[in-house]
Amino acid sequence: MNLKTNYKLPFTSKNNNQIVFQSPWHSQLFAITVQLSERGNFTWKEFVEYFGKSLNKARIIKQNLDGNDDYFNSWLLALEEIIISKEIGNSKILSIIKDDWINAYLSTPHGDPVKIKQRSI
Amino acid sequence: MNSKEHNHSHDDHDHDHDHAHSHLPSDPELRVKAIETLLLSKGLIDSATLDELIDTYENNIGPQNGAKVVAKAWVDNDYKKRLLEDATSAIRELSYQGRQGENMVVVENTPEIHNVVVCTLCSCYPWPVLGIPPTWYKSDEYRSRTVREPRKVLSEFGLNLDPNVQIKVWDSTAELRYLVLPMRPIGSEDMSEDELAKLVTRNSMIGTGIPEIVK
Repeated sequence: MNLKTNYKLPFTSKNNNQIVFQSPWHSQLFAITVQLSERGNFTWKEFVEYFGKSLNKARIIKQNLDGNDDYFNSWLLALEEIIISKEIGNSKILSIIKDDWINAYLSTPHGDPVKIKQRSI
Repeated sequence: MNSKEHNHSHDDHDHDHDHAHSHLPSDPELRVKAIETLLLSKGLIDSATLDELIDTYENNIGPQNGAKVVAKAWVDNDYKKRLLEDATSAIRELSYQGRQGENMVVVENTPEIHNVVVCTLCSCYPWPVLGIPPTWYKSDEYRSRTVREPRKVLSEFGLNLDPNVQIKVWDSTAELRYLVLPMRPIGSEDMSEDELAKLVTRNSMIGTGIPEIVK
């Protein structure tokens, strides 16, 4: 990794106040992972192993990952991989549901609640 | 912009022409929604618990917990001894326990030694006493450079240590999490435990800062 000597770390305030999650999807992803682990689907140690690998993969494409979207993109990939590996779901069904959401957003008038149809999974 | 609403009469409908439909979330947002939908439908998660988890870490659990541990150790030598010998149990005495705090180790700063905590693998962090880690703790810059050049990284936090002070870097893991016990600041002798807790910042318990009395 290249050392950028003039790089300023994204240091925030020194007091205890901070925005815990920068985006709603970060907090949602965090809570889903914690709950799924605590209900016995995988241990936290197992998740951390997937997460570490996923961060390393991301580093092949981009050096110096930030602790924000980069970090949670890797977290997301790790959760997808552990879900597939534990056979909780597979990539095909995740892709189908994602498409359902895309179609729902594109067909729902602005301002209306976006819902997807129930699908037998 | 075309004032007409969507025309659904053609198949290759181009959605760039109008924003009458809902704003399409980003790819990661959609993937999170897909996971959530799948797990909810399988009954593996529930929405109320998700909301409760987010609320807990956004509002209730944070560095203020660790600050109370540190302040107690400053005023109660017996507690400090227990904290350094068996941090998990001593922290549990203040009802801080559980998730990502199962195996805690407290490392004490002295005039000769300054401790700093990092997680080189990802972002392992003692949630019960510090909450969710700040963005910089999760960045590659902090995670890699703290091991290689801790003194320089600390100086970028505004912490310029005496060259004679030894810096010890502790690598937190999923199984073992570190908390720094900073030195009690000079001039705080007459302060109560509650007043002392207010001096203890998150960074001082990671080792990237020290408690200071604001005049």
